[in-house]
Amino acid sequence: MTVYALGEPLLLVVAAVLYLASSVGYGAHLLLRTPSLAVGARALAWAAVAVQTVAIGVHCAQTHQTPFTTPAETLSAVAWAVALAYLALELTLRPKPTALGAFALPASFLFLFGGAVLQRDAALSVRHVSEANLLDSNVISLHVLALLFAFGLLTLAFGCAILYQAQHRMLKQKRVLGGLFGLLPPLARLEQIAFALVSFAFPLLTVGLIAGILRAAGGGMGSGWAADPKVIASFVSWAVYGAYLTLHVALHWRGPRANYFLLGGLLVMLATLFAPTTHRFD
Amino acid sequence: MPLVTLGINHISSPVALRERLAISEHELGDALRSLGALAPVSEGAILSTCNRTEVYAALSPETAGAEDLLAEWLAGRHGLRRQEFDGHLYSYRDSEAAGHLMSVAAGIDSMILGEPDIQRQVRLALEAAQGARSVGTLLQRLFQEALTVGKRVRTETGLARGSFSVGAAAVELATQIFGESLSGHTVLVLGAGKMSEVTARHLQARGAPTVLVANRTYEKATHLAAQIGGEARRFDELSDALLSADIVVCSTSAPHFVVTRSLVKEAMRARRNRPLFLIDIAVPRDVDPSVDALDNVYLYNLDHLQAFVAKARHARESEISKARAIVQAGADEYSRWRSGLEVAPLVVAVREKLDAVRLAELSRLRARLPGLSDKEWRLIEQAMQSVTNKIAHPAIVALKDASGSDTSATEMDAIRRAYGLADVVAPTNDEAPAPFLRLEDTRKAGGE
Repeated sequence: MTVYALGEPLLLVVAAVLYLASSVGYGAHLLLRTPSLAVGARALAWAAVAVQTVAIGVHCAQTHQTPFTTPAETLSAVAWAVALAYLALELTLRPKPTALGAFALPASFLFLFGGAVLQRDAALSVRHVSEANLLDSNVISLHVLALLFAFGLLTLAFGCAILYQAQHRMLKQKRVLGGLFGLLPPLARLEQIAFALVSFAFPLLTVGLIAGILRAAGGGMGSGWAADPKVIASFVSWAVYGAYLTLHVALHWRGPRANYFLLGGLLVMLATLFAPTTHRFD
Repeated sequence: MPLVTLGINHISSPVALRERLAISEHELGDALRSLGALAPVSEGAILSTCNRTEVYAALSPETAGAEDLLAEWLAGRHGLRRQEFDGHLYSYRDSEAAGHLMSVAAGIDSMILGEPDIQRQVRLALEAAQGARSVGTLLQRLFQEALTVGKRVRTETGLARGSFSVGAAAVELATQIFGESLSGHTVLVLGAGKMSEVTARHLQARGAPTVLVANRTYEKATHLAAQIGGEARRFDELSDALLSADIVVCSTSAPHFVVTRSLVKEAMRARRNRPLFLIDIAVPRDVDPSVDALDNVYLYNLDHLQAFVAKARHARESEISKARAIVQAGADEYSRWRSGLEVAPLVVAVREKLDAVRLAELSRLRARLPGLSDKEWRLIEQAMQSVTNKIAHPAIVALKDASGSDTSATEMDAIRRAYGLADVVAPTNDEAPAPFLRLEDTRKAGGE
């Protein structure tokens, strides 16, 4: 049986199940601290990424389109980018930030599930064939891929901020018995990882936006592209992360105040996916 | 002679109240002299640590309202009104008071179960009282017995093994902020006491490379720094030390806040918001509690460590019952000794009374029978001695058997009346008056 015969939807279902199973594994490891749970969860996460990579390949082969032509497809791709970014982080960091896995893999599952819900109108992707053709340029590929990986990294930074806030609240409120106390990474490490993630993501975000501006200025989006809500939201998110880095480096903002930028930044990024838009190349 | 304990501790009151009733080491001599000057107090001792202030007093038997008297003294000494701490005081009498001190010395009553430092603190309290000449036979024996019981509990039970100390709590919290290894994080110790040393050693063992020691007396800081391989700092260099230190252990005996909000706020600006972890184990507290509201500052005092303690206590419940059995045996032994001590005057009085009767009868007989030889007189004296011994014997045996029992007061009273010895006073065993707590109640209410 070939992957073509399996079809993209079935592969995405398999990937979703694997993401879910991996999420459960990372969650159980967070609570029980059994090393074999983390090993199993990691294997499932790699399997999920592999299956979704095949699904993306099948999509491209069948439709001759990049898989980012609709918000649904973009969400699915973000799921893949988040999982891949997390696994890359595991390969890079020692000790492995497995507590972040309990956030990243559920996020991947939810993005994929959200994409599937949006994808219900199958005709939607057909309607955008003409637009998709317009996406078939190097500049737009750069625009989409840069933003996609930036999204993945910033989702992980958001996860770090969430874990930081949880740990910070427990320490401030002296809730040091039971619950998640002692199970989350130390504050300093979460802050370090979040900053590193944004430091990598911000250049990608910048490149992605510049590529988009170049393509839009080159024509195809109409004269009012700069006032488009999606474009405005994209610039706001860039400004939020730019402010985070500036305040972190220049004014040494640390802790909860800095985390609010990471939390708010991702919400603005999500808004770019769902904002009413004239983001069309017609 | 009633023995009374009146106190306040980490179970009965929050640190904000405890620190107001604390008696520092340098005030102890004066406090003991003032306690001893109270008219009904024949012996007095004070145990004041970061978790408790307890007054031990032996009072004259006719003293009414001994607990009230001691509470008033405590209030007057600290310039407080009774209402400010009345509901937080506990008291014990006689054998319960003895058992309480033994539990304290054994570390059963400590916030950190089985912690070793309390043994030293009980010894210091005894030495201070001996120095102030405020202890006599009763309290001297009680404190020595308590130290023996404390030692037995530590060697015969697992109560102190792997004891969860303030140092261990500090390490656990610090790793939640800075990471598993504390390498690269400087520790500042304020105050050169034993607790500071223990805590600093725990943090060093987790990798903290540099320990700065600051103390009002620079020589003490130098001494502690030399002991733990740290660096001494002058106390007026505190603001500079706060810039390099990430973990600050505070245990000075200062009566006011040493680390103020403005000092920390200024330091946080200069240290570019790097997290600062303050652990305040001093009573009175060293760190202004409002410091905790500052961003990236985490402040823990002794009350906040209760959660850790509860966890450690739960793990060693079985050892507590063994330790309690040793304490009970020690308290019973002390009670027996003390009761023996209390019947002794009556035993002596009974003997003296009978001897007086015997001598008086002999003297009368000599006048009536002038012609008896010395040998005959010796026989008569031996016979009378034997008679008085036989008369005294059942009474003395009854007194010794009754000592320490619930009926001893009744039996002593009966013998006193039988021999016409009304002026030999009986011991009292009154219950503590109502306004004072009993620690069993507070523990059940969720103390430790």
